Amino acid sequence: MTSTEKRELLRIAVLRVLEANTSRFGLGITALIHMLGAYGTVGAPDDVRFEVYYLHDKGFLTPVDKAISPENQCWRITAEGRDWVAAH
Amino acid sequence: MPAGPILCASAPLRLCVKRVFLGMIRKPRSDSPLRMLSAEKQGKIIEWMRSGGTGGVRGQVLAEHGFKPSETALGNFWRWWHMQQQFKRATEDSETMMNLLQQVQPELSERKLFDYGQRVFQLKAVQAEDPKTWVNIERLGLDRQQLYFDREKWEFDAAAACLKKLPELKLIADDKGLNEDAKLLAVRERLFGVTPD
Repeated sequence: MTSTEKRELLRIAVLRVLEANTSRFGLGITALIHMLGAYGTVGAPDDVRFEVYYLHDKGFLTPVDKAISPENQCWRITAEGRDWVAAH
Repeated sequence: MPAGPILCASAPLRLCVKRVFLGMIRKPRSDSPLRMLSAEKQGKIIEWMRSGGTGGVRGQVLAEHGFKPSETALGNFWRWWHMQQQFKRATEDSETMMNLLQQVQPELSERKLFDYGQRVFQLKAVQAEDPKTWVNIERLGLDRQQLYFDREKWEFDAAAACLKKLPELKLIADDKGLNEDAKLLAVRERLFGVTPD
């Protein structure tokens, strides 16, 4: 499997994990990595962070507003992200 | 009426119609019918899967709900259902904690309360997961670190070897009888010895 394919699978897994969360809370990178295991995907923190930023730039993810430790961002899926997951 | 505004107003409408049309012809995801069922029916399917794997369940779903899901669809549904349950439990715990905290410390702002709720949510969501996954993540991090140290050591050794054989390397570099490939090979042999095929 090429690195491009791996990246694509990682992106899809990130979206699927976050899509299952319908609450107002988000997931940080560490928790996200932890839950990616359910989709048979293991990503290093830097790789997952990179893909999360990519998905954010695409409008599929949004950061949760935090007052404490805003540098440790938590993420939720957007309506656009949900639509994408529903179609794939 | 001027033409401009009509064109501007109709453009989003055209886009909207296009999106609706595309939405109608778009193929739905394979596990969508399962996800459209009521919570009770979904729970029942999960119970079937727990007791008998996916093989017999496809037939049971067909008999009871009128469609036969693929193995993949059932697998995706299984993962999604469990993850959703996990998030639901984490959300309930977070909301409970936030309510209690608000009663004990009413001076806390909504934002701070939410932050605490957010922390509890993450902890609870992760707690329910398989610890094996965590071990794999840690191992991956250690492997990367080892790779970094190995590379650093190799670079240091290569630099030391270059310094030690600098006069010989200079002779090779100045040798006009050797082409670029032959020079590289000669340098490599001087530094690391004859490489195995």
